[in-house]
Formats: sequence, C-alpha cells, structure tokens
Amino acid sequence: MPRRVWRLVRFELAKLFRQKLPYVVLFPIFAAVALVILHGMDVGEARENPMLRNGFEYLTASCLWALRLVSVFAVVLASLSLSSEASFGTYRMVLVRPVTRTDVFVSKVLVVAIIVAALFILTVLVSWGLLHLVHGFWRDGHYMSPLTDGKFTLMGEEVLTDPNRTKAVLQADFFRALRLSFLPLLASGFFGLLISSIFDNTGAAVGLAMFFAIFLYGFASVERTAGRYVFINSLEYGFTVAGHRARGLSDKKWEEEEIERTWVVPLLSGAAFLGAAYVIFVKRDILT
Amino acid sequence: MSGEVILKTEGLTKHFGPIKAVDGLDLEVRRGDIYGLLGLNGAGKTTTIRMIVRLIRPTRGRVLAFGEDVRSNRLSVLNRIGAMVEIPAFYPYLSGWKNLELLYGLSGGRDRDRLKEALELVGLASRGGDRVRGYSQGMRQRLGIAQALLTNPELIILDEPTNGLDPQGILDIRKLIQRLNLEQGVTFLVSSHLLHEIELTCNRVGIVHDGRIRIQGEVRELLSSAVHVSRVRTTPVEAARRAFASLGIEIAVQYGDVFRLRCGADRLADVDAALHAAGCRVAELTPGRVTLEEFFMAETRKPDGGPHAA
Repeated sequence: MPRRVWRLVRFELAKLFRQKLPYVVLFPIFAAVALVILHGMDVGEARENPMLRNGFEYLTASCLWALRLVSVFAVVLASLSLSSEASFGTYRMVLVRPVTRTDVFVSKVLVVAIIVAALFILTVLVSWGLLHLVHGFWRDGHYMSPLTDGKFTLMGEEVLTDPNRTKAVLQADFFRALRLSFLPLLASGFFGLLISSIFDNTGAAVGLAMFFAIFLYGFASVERTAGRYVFINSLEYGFTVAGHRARGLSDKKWEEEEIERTWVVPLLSGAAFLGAAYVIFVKRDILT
Repeated sequence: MSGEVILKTEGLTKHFGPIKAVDGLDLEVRRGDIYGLLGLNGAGKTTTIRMIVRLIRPTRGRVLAFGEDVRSNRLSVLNRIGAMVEIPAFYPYLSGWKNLELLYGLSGGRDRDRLKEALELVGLASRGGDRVRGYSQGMRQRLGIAQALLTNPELIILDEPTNGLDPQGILDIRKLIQRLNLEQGVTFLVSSHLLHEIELTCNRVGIVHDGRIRIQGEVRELLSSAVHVSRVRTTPVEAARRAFASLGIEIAVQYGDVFRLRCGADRLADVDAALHAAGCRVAELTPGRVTLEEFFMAETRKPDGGPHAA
C-alpha cells in the first residue's frame, strides 16, 4: 500500500502544480503578510509610545492574517479534491488502475496535509524574511527587529528593554502559537474533503464549503462561548494571545484549559470529518 | 480459441432504488475472444462494465476474472485488465502525453517508449504534446483506448470505443482491435450499439436487454441459426405460389410479383428448379442473409424468454 499511495501522491501533486490555483492563492497570502509588515514602517505613533511596537507583534499579526487565508484555501482546495474527479469523470480512469479507494483517499488526505504544511511554513518564512528585510534584516539593531534580544529599538535608537518581554519569551510565545494553529488548518482541509466527498459538482462543493467556513468563522467570533468549540476558532487563539503578549498586554496569559481545547477541538473535528468522508467515498458508486 | 473463460459474471444484479439496471446478468468471455456486448441505450451495458471493474458495487451476483473474484482480488485482477468506461475523461489542463504518463505511473509503469508506442497505435503521436482541453471527442476516444493499452493487459474492456470517431477512425480502431487480438492474443470485451461494427469486429456477442443477457454465442452460429428470408421476383404469381407450396416453403410477404420466402441460400436451387418446372419466368433470386442488426432487432422484440446461449 505505501508504494501505491506514494504513486498517487506524486500523481496528485503533479496535477496540482500544473493548475493555476496554487499560484493564484499565493498572492493574497503574501499580500496580507506584506500589508501587515509594511505597516510597521509607519512609526509616527510608535515614536511617542515605543511600547506599542516590536517585531513579534508584526510577526504574529501577519501570520494570523495569512494563516486565515491558508485555512480558507485549504477548504477550497480540499473541497475540489474529490468533487473535481467526479465532475471531470476522471475517477473512471484512476479507479480502473490497480489502486484501491483507500489508497486514493489516503493520498488525497496526504496532499491536503502537504499543501497546508507547505503554505504554513511558507507563510512563516515569508513573514520572518519580510520583517527582517524591511525592518532590519540588513542592519540589525538599526530597525525594529525581534533579533535584538529584549532590546526594543525604533529607527536605530534603542528605546527600551523590557524584562517581561525578552526575545526568548516572545519567541516561545510565537512558536507556541504556531504549534496551536497547525491542527485547525488541517481540520479546515479535512472539512473541505468531507464536503467534497458528498458532491459530484465542484461548484456545489466549493460553494457549500465556503458558505459553511464563513458561517463558522462568523459564529466563532460572535458567539464566543459556543464558538470555542468550533475548530476554526482554535486558529485564532494562539496568535491572538501571542500578539497581545507581544504588545505588552501583560494581563493576557496562556490558559491551559484553552490550550487543551485548542488541541482537542480541531483534532476531534478533523478525525470526524476524515472518518465521515472516508466512509462516504469508499461506499459510493462511481456513476459520473 | 482456447475456450478458457477469463471473465464471467454470475447473476450480476444492480438496483438503483426501484430501477433494475442489471438483473441477473450472466456473461462469459473466453480467452482470445473479441466479445461484443450489444444492447439498446439503457439496456445495462455500461452498468455491467462498471460492476466488472468495481466502479459500482453489485446489488447481487459476482464477477470472476481470470478465475478470481474481482471483489476480493481487485488489485491483482486490475493489473491484468485495461479498461475504458464510457466517454474517456482526462485532466484537460494536462497534455495527452502527461495524462498517459500519470495514469501509467499509477500502474507502476515508467517506460517512455511504451507511452510513445501507445500514442502511435491510436494515431495520436503528433498531438500527444497538446493539452487535452483542445482535443476533439474522437481524439479523446483514441487517448482513452491508448490508456487502456498501456500496461499490455490480457483483457481490454472498451465501452463504446467508436463513439465520436469518423469513418476512418472507426476503421482504424477495428483494425487495431483485430490486430492486437490476432498478434498478441489480447481478449476484448467491447460494448456498443453499432451493430454493423460489432458484426465486423467480434467473434462472439451477448445481447443485453432489460438488464439480462438475452442470448450469447458465436456471431456466425447465431446468424446461421436465425430464420433467413430470401427474395424472389417471378411470374405468373399463382403458379409460383403453387411451386413454393410444393417445396413446403412459407411465404413471408408478397407484394406484386415479389416474394419474400422463409428459406436460406441452401434452398434456392430447389426453388429455381421448381419455378422453371411450373413454367414461371424468374427475374430475381436473392439469397437471404440475416445481418446482426436484423438478428438483434428480432431478439430484442421477442417477449422475455429468459437468457440462453447458442
């Protein structure tokens, strides 16, 4: 089975990278990162209140915005994954080859996971790179930079050393936020796969997946108590808290209960989405 | 023909809700056959083929290929089968070559020469680099046949392979099927409603009607077993009627001096002699030959008498 799945994964990736979609989606993601990072150049306000700005603040904000887009893309990509095969009729070509439906499904899941992981890593690297490029990568210490190890500088002037917000603490916050946000991204992809397994029509699959995704985002942000149990909400928690802490809002603490929920909700949701999608896909007759 | 049965369905049944698409279908394809699966639209041909390659699950019954149950041995069976089900569908944003390369890769194949050969066999070598988006239906059909050939399968299943092809294309595909069958011993199961094509291409046929095999057997034997109708033009009419009656030959239809008689070519010499003996002048004597089309129409118009084999 691993060999067949590997062949299918290569098959899927070869198809994917010959389409426009993965390239088009990079524009809004990079644009979101660039807007947030470039906004950091506007330091007029920060001059009077240097506590307002540091590199981790921008890093958490840019990652949060970009990863929101990645999660939407994961829903779109995954909702196309199975439905497009049904819509084109290409299942008839693939499933008459010596591969099982389980192989096909596992490869689709892996491809969604690979793409989400790749975009996740790319987002972080681009955010980090752009931040340093614009604010001090080339002249470390002269521009606002998270590399100044606890000394927060603006326009080349050292303005403050904050013992509560050392580079090590903020870096740890940032990495924790990254860890917490990966599972919700995967769960978004698996949600798209579930929708994709139900519909033979790509328009219906993408439309409905987007509709639900937008609804769930809205629900999670408005109905905060119940919304914490929606998998997409978990994406927000890590970067929101890390961002608050980077801004010096010391009352924002990591809550163990919230962190646990941030792991458990997308994990269980993702598993449920995958299980349901698998059963639907394996049991269905290929009639298109 | 070795006679070894390499594909067999037993009581194959598929219900879609209250609709019985296939209803206890039993067919047998022997090694070396070019087996034609004939039927009207909606007779159950494509559903049968989809069940054979497990795109859909039978409600009842089973499929045996190379002596193995396809349900429990799907991978080993599909390693030996090439199939094109309905209108072939490809990824439109990829070239014909790339589509084939990817599909071939799923079967573990990497031989570029084989890809080239498959494209040449179906006459697409010069267009292999073009995106499938720009292919005509006939070209897609050829590409579909090419992908079925890729792994040098022992059994190739083609569902309506000549759909959308021009006369030259139909002729090319017919020759290709016959050549692969003759030179490489590849067995074919070909579904179609183009009866003339099937008659020219296949050695055995099965007629599917209302989801069941109405009759199956060697094309030659089926046609020779059918009632033939010969055409005779002669006068005077009354003397001719008496001559036919004396031979015990039934008149199917008479209009003017033209008779259609229920007899084959083997009786026409007797008919000619009897007519001359009766003083009739014979203007035309045409031996009756039943085409597969006539045979098919006669079989599918019969009330359902259950499946049988010739």
